Amino acid sequence: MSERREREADPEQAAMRARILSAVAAEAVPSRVEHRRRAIVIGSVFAAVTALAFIATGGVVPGDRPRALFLLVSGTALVAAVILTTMAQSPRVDGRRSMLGPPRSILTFAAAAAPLGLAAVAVGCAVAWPELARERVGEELHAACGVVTAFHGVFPLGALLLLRRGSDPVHPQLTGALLGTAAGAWATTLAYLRCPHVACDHCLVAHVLPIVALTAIGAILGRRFLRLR
Amino acid sequence: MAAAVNDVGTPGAMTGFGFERFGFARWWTSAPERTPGRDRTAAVSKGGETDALDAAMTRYGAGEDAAFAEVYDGLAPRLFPFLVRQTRDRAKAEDVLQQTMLQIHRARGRFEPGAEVVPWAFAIARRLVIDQHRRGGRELLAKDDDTSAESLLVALDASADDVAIAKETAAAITRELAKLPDNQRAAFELIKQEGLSVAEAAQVLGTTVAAVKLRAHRAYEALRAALAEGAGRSAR
Repeated sequence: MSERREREADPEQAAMRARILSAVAAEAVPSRVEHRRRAIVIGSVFAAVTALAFIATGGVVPGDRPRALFLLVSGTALVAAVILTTMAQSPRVDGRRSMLGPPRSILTFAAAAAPLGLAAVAVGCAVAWPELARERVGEELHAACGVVTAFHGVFPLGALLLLRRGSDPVHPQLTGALLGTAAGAWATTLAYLRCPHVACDHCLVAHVLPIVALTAIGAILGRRFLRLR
Repeated sequence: MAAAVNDVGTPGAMTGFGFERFGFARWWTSAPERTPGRDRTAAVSKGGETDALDAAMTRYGAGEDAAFAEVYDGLAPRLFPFLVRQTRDRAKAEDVLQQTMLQIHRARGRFEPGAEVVPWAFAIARRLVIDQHRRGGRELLAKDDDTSAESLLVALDASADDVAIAKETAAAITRELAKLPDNQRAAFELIKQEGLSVAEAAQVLGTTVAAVKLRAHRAYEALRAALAEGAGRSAR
């Protein structure tokens, strides 16, 4: 109350307040409900485009893979994708929702740990199913499958960047990298669903390495699109 | 500003240099955990204000347009002095305050109910100051002829000698602060000058609580050493 009286007594502060409030009133901005509706539309459109791209490139192909292997690799990638997406889109700090997100060290750790963890799963599967892991896959197939994986990650990355555009005043580049990692984890999930090859080198080069590429692209785009405008 | 000028004699963390005589107490002891007695009450009241501010922003996000005035009234008295200190220019501080409030307004729909508004607002304001600085206003953060820090720190009832010593010490503090690495200075300023908690400062700087504590402590130690050295030289 006394602050209010002080402000009223200071004509400069009162004028500044009036000016800022009128500038804010002049700019229409969606409320939370409208924003959520928009987010659902964007998420749905990008999910539909990703699904179409996935079907166009072959859809689900279990191949000769044992059911346990199929579920383990695609399930692990799916869990990583969900965790990273939640972390990027609805950040929490000390158990409380935050508009600024986790500290730099946690973002860096998450962006590095996801591809390393998925690579460890691929190596672990090669140890558990050695006869399948020795399958010979040509370099052309590595490259083609890797490009398709990266292509599938572009749509989730676009959606995640669009939803968080202009929102990060602290570390947009790292947040962008995390979004890239999350998109990469979604792409790896789809790669394990559609690609029947289980050779360890193929999984590392064509399914996991694209996460690193998408993380780098996310960092570059994040610096440009996530910073305050 | 008025509060700083009249806040003379409160025991401060920087005791031993006699700073409290010159009205430095508020400047040095604004972190809630350092302030016993009256200041603890102030910290509790600040917590209540912060909760009210978070609630106002939540209502604004939900579509209650009138709540933005409450958000402004809760933030502006904290952000404006911070921006004046950072830009050393009232007009530029007003401009950045307006941009900060517009950014908060634009993020209305994205605001997560339950999130803290104060560290978010400080992070936006800090980013806008840095961007403005990078766009060419380099003089903003490096004016040598600035006297705003001194005018904030000198007590009204101090003698002429005290005022002279206070000005000299304030200038020394400003000089020593300028010499600190950016990350240490930022942590120190947010905690000691702006009164943010360590956790809030950590969010603003995008780092961990432990890192902020360490940076602020190093800054504090560096300042203390530099000022003690200065005091020793004057005594000789």
